[in-house]
Amino acid sequence: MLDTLFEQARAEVPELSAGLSAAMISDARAALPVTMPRSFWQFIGGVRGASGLALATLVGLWIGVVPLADSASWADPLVAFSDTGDAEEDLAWSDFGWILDEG
Amino acid sequence: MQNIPPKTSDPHAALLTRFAQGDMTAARLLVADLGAMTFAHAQRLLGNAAEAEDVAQEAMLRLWRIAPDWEPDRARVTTWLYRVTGNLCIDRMRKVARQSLPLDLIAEPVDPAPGAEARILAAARAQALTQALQQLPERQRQAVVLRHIEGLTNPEIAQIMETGVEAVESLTARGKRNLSAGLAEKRSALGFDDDTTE
Repeated sequence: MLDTLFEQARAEVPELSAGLSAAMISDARAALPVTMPRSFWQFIGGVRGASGLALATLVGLWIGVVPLADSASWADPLVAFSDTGDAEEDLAWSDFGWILDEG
Repeated sequence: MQNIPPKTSDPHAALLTRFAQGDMTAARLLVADLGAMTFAHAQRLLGNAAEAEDVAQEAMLRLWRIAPDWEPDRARVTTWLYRVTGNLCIDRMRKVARQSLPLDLIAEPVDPAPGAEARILAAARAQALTQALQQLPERQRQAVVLRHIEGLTNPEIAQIMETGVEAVESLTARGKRNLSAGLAEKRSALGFDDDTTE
């Protein structure tokens, strides 16, 4: 009798649920020791990190070095000063017309 | 320069070393193999899936924490894990003895279809063995499960239970005698009327 019961118990293996499996993996990730990068290449993130840095550098150089083609550019309203030749219009740009409206 | 894991005959030790170096693929492989083994062993010892899940997760957590300091020459990973799982289960068994936590009772299927009778009988036998195992003293239960269900050898069990081989043989023999005595009155109900062997 016991041999039969043991044989059946050996054949019926309790299965690991997906939830428990995920919990164990999550515990593993949390238990990983935090290690310092072994090299500067690893520190900047390898190929991906280096390419991102390179792109950012190029864009920054382009913004800083390449002159704007048109002085009356889209950025003028943000700067609050413009030279349209019309003093009233210039004042409107600088004060957003509020003082004139109230006056 | 990559850290090359030391040569070892224990494949789990190699995976554990890789995990300690940050390899999560090794962790997933260990969970699929050792996590499953730990849960199954805890379930067989405790007879309660929820308690077994807690024990298995705790045992694996201890494995992750010891990974950086694991010495392959000390013991096999499975031996260490069986030992930790067994000790955690014994703590739970003592709590069960104090609080009388319920066992997982396998519900009998009511399906009248052909083949259902065999399934009902198998479920009844599994439940009877689980209940009989829960009546054994902790060490006898552990020895019987390791020997006759997990299929380990006496020397392996001796290492897990941190005792001698003769002590293991004594525990398994007494455990089987107690199991037989506990199941004797259910022999007929479990379909062993014509079975003259133990």
